[in-house]
Amino acid sequence: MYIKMMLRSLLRHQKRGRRLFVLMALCSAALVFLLTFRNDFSTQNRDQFIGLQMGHIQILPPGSPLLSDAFFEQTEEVPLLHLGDEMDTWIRALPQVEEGAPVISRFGMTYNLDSEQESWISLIAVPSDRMKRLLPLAAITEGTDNLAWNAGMTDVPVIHSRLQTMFGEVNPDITEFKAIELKVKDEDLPACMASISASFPKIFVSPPYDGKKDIARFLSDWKKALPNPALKEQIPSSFFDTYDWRLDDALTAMQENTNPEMVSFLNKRIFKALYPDLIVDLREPIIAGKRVTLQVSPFKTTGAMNMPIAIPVKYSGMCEIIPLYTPNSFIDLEAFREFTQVGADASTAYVIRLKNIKDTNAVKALIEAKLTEIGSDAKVADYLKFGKLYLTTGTAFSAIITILVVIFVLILLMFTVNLVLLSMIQRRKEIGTGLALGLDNMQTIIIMTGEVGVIVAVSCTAGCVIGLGAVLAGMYFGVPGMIFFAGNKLHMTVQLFPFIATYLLLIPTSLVVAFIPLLRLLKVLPVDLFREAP
Amino acid sequence: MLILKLILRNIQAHRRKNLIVFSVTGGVCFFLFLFLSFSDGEIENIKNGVSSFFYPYSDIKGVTQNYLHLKEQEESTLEEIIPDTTALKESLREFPFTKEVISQVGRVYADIFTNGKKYLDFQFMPFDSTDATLRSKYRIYEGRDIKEGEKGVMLMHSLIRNNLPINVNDEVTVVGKDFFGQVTSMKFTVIGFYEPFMDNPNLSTMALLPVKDLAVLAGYTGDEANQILIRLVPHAKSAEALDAVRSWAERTGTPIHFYLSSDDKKDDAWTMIYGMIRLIILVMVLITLFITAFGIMNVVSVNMYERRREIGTYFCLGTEAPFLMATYTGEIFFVNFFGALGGIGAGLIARLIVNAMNISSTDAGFQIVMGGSRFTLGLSISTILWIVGGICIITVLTALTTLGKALKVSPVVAVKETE
Repeated sequence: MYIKMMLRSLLRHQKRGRRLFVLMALCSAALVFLLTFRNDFSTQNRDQFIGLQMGHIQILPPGSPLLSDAFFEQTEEVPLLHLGDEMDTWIRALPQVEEGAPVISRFGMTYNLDSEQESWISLIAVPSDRMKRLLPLAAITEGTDNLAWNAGMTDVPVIHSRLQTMFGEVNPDITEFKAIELKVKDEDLPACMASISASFPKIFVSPPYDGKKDIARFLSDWKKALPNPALKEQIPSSFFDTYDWRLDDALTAMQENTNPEMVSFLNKRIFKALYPDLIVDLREPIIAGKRVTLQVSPFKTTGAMNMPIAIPVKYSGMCEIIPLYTPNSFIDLEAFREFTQVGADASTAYVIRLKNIKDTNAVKALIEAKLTEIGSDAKVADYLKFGKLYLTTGTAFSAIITILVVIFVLILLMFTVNLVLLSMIQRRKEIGTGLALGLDNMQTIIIMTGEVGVIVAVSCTAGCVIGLGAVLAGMYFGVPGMIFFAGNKLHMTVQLFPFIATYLLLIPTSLVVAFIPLLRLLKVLPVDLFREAP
Repeated sequence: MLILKLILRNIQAHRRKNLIVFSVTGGVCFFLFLFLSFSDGEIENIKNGVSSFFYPYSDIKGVTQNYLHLKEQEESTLEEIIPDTTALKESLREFPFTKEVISQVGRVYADIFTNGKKYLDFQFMPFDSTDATLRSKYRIYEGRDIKEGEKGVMLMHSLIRNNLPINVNDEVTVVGKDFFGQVTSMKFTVIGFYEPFMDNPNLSTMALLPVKDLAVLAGYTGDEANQILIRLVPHAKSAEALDAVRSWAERTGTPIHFYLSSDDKKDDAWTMIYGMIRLIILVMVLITLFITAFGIMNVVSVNMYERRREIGTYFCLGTEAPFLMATYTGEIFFVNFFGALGGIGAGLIARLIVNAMNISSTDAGFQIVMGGSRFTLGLSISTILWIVGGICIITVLTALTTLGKALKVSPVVAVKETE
């Protein structure tokens, strides 16, 4: 009977119910999205620094900068850890451990083969065969993940951090000249284009290039010619009448180049050498396959000025980073030990990745006991200690979203109360008739509360479907503007918890806030309800 | 006027219901104001903290003729050097509108060697001893400040004092590369440790050196600099001041290009990062406003049902539907508008209280989240405009799309004894 009466009332007052339905659906969709977003933000923010650079647990030598709360670190002479193979084998054999490995962290500087400073680099030296399992989120975005090194190799492979900041990619475009790369201003542009096109008629095949309107065509013709490795043969002999070291360097670089991806850039460099006053200085791109010299400080301080250690390296690939924080590049541990002469078992930390984050405390305790057993003074720290900086960001974001969720729920509850109160006023005759025909007051309350319950349950389900759609969109396209995450996007995941939480937050609370004002009906007589409203 | 009179009379007549809507709007706007105010506070902290050290404030900048062109083309500007800065600064200080003139050299990244240990990756900032603005950004934690004309001295961050074995009067050798790739090294005496009033982890490895020393460390002569920064006295008009210094440069043949600092096209990186976070918060705020406004219109539509006799009476008196639509839209608009103002007003009071509490921390995570070492609730015109504008636009839009049906009332309703 109850269900029949509820449904009948709902059909009769469907207009009013529809409004609550839409509001509830919108709110529940927002809740599903926000709760999923909140969980994903916290989890991925945490997993990112664990999976990209730190692992769940680290064994550190006493005095390690990671054990201090200071933001800065890096002394030239850092304390080193010597755990040995036996401990390494023991840790890796633990059932909870996914992978463990000694690592060396060091900052360095790279120089291109013209001895020009390329960039500062944050390096993590890790055994090449363990990297994928130890730091799985350092995914390759370009090139290969080959980090393996042997003593016979000329260049040590390095997986370079992806060149991305929160504002986008930072590599210059090497496939073409941009108008901004021409030094000349508007009025001088025709003369500039005329000068270059006159010397290279085979490249600039669609003259005339008389003004600003022709710049796009001029650059397009130029772009088509840049991938040609034999472009240098078109240089007019007049350019060689007097010796120019820039041209000589540029031609030599092209001659020695073995990387097809660099051809366009090296041709750009030749043009820069030919027209130094018309073309801006060109920044060499950092791409997979590029060879550079890596310089790192030695691990032993002997005075104010030490000769840096030089390592010839080749970028085998580029890997994912956290754009907001220090980007890390990777090198094989054996190679790094060999060049830096730190010793065959030395490391700055032993990083452990667990199969399940919940085992952190248990494994930490096991390792501490083992270290005590073998008489080691090494310290053990978990991600909560060395990831404090990252975790604070996640906590702050979670707090903001939690407050928003609370606002949404409060808004919804206020409007539910309002709607129920108004329904009581507007449906007083219907309620009175029900009471006069034998329904008791509690039955009336149950029917009216049930109506709210049905609306809430159905609209929650509709809202969850809409929310699921939004989450799926966030999963496939990524939520943009998320500068805390790789690629500046947060890729959401479908989780059960936000849906359950939405139901649990909305249905019981809506029923309670609907029930409380309806309790007034307990003391009402049918005759009261037939009176004209005040 | 009639419509305004009717709106005010209706608000008064249904004040209890309108008070509920006012409270809900006010409450929501209060929280949204706090969100945006938090974001304003972050940006304010960044501007008063780390950015004020790395990108010192100025009204007018003086650079070489080619500097801006190179900057626009993202070429290195390090070779664009202004010579004889001492004489230039003296001349510029003579203008009545000039408050401060300082010279600026780019940051130098280098290592330090002291007490037999070498510490890597420090950054060295120029400190012009006449720069009272920069001095106002920090306090001396230990030791003393750099005096005017002093050379060979260094101020380090208080975190260094607390975490590394470096003390006042220690001799420190700075070793690194200058702007031209050559090895550079100089000895300095640590005379003190500074503590920024608005600290940030990015400042922890920053040491202040006298600008002339830094110029030498960077590969220039002591009197050369990359930029001249001019700060104006209060109420001075920057455009007029710019004209005056430009005419002076032309008259005296000084090859310096002066321009308004506000014409610099890009914000600094930190402001951009926190600007992005603000954008995310703004999107959340707009979603919340939309759902709130929709909810409010829900209630209003239901309330309208109760006012059918009133609506019927209007029709009996010859009122047209568009007029009524405008009247009821105006009513809810006024209630929401004042609700939003009320919420913002409450937010402003909360802001005053929170800022007066002076909540601060030395924790790096806290400083990253807050943009500085203090939890500041900021204020910007855009915050108020977004909230008030958002609620007004969404209210009008939802009113126009939902009130139509509520106004479809027969005039007969007005004379019915009961519904």
